[in-house]
Amino acid sequence: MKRLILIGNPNVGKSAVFWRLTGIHAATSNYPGTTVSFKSGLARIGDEFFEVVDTPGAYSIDATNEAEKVAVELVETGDLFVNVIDATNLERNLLLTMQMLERGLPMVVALNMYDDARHKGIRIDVDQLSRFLRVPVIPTVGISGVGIANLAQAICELRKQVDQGVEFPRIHSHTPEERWGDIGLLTARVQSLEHRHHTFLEWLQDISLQPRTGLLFAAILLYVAFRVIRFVGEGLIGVVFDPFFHGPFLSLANHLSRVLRDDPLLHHLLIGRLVNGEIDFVQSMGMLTTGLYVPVGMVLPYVVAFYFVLAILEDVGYLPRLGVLLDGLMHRVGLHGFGVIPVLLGLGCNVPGIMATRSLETRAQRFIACTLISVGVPCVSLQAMILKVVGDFGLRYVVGVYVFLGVVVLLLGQVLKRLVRGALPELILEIPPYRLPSLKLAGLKLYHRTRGFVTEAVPLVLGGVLLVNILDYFRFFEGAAVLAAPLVTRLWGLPQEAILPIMLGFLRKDIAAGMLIPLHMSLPQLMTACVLLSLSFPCIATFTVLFTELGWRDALKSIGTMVVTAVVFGTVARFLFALGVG
Amino acid sequence: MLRKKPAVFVVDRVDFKRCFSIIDRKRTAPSAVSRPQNATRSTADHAPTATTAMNLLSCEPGVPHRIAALQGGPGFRARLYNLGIAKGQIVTKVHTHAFRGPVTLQVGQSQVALGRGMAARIRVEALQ
Repeated sequence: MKRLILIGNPNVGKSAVFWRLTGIHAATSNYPGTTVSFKSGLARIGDEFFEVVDTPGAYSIDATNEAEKVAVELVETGDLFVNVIDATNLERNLLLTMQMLERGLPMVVALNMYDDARHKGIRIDVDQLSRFLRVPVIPTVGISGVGIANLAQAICELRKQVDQGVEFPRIHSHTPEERWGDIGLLTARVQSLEHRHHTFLEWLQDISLQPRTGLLFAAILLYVAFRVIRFVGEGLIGVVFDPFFHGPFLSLANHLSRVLRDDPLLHHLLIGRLVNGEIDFVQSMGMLTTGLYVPVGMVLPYVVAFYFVLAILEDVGYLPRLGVLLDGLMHRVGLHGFGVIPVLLGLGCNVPGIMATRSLETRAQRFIACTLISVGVPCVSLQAMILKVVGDFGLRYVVGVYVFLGVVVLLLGQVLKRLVRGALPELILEIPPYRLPSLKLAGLKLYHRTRGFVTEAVPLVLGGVLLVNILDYFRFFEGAAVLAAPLVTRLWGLPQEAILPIMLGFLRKDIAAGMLIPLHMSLPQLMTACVLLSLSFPCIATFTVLFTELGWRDALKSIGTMVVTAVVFGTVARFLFALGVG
Repeated sequence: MLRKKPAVFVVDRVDFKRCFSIIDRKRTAPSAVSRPQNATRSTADHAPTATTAMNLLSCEPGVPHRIAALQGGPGFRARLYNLGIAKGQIVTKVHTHAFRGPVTLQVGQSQVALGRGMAARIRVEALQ
């Protein structure tokens, strides 16, 4: 089977073309660096099967970051290539095309976003471009699928030529300076620009990037985003999840509880303990009660709401602009503006956040970003629970927790920036134009992220609840609580049983936060415990990617930083919250 | 007693641009080669003419300029090169962001944000 590799600049729609060729969904958004590792799938093109590989975007064959390195290494393994280029940005995209042609690789060029180019008044003479490049050039629109059939046909023909051992045209090698010069000449020959008036999107583009109006725009937009997340999340809970759990599901659980009355162990595991003779979904700690209610009834609605808003912001293309506006601030913590994107993804789940740091250039930056995300960026599961646990006392206390975490991140970033060895380069970021999101693709992305949450989080929570119950049965926690008492009670001012949720945070943050409720702590204690859940060990999934992304040496350093931060700032939080609330 | 202003408060003698340029230099990658002293200085006090080279920080926004030289290591040059920021290419500065933020450039059809220290190392000249 031949290997077909999609290669192209960042943010040209390779993942959309991949989805069209294979039917496999690959996350798409409107900023460079959505795809950070390769994804491969089987596609039947013509009568033959191909292994199609979607690669991270690369501006040239000389890689300048981890994600590009992945793409460049893949080039060596391919049999056929589709060079996806952005028709709205022909000149810049042709650099990679030229480099590929200089190697004489069997290649088809997909002139993607062809519709966008026409809207913008960019006319490209496709036939002439094809003649100059001496490879087939196919206009496509990855998002809607226009032109994909033609692309498939061109791939078939290319495949035949490869089988016949045809020598592919190889253009002479250029010096770097000649290359841009020639591209300029070529573009001038095949492309003509029409002058037209500014559209609404372009006006929006301007005000959201201008130094003065941009920050105001960002503040309003983030506030609206937050309100929408709460509105959608609470709406889903109120309309769908609570009626279900407190209606049919509760009666089912009650029935089961009566049936299992004679089997205390099974009752303990599945239903948990009864609070005042009734099932309490948050406190019972049974696999079928708390184990299902916390991830599905409390966290899932916010997961959906968060990823819904994120998908829109991503696909429109707002995030790089936010990165540019906050670049100055991010330099304080040793990162640059692009660091905003991993942080925002980390607010959903730390795992994709840490993966997204691959688009940062140096090891030092990646180390700082990964550490800061695991320490101070609570994932949506934890946030939903903070909103429940602390938010019942008033929203301003939730804000207090967030502000505290934000300050910790800033301070820790300052420290890391000075301690970490290695270059911390400045921002180089391409700012994509705004695009109207495709509802289908945004919906697919939301679906896949939500499904990922359900299939990964729910089993872990169930396992966590089971583990707690088993350890509880063997009275393990009493011993642990006594051992950890000096740390937990003296330093953090929490009841010694609180060590249990904090330790369990290693498994899942949401279930851990839920376990704080039965401890009947005061508000400052609850706030401290929530802060600690974020600062201390990341959950097991984050833990694993930390090791794979940073290597064990850096990961251990990062984890050491977390432990120290938790001990120090947990203590600070205790006194600060006690002062602030009292 | 307090009416006498101490001399340190005479603000107009402090060259803020220069202060910033020192901070900027600290922030850029160590590959930064030694640059001429006025590389990051505002040319507000040296009126630019068609022949004196200025850099992207000091050049006038909204006006296309031709890139005369890139001062920096090969890695730095390669990354800019990939985005079409190379010697002889034409770029237009669009914004300079506050709080030592980046500058945004128009390069062909695309917009690119570039850190200040980097922008200062890109020498440009006015089009004739």
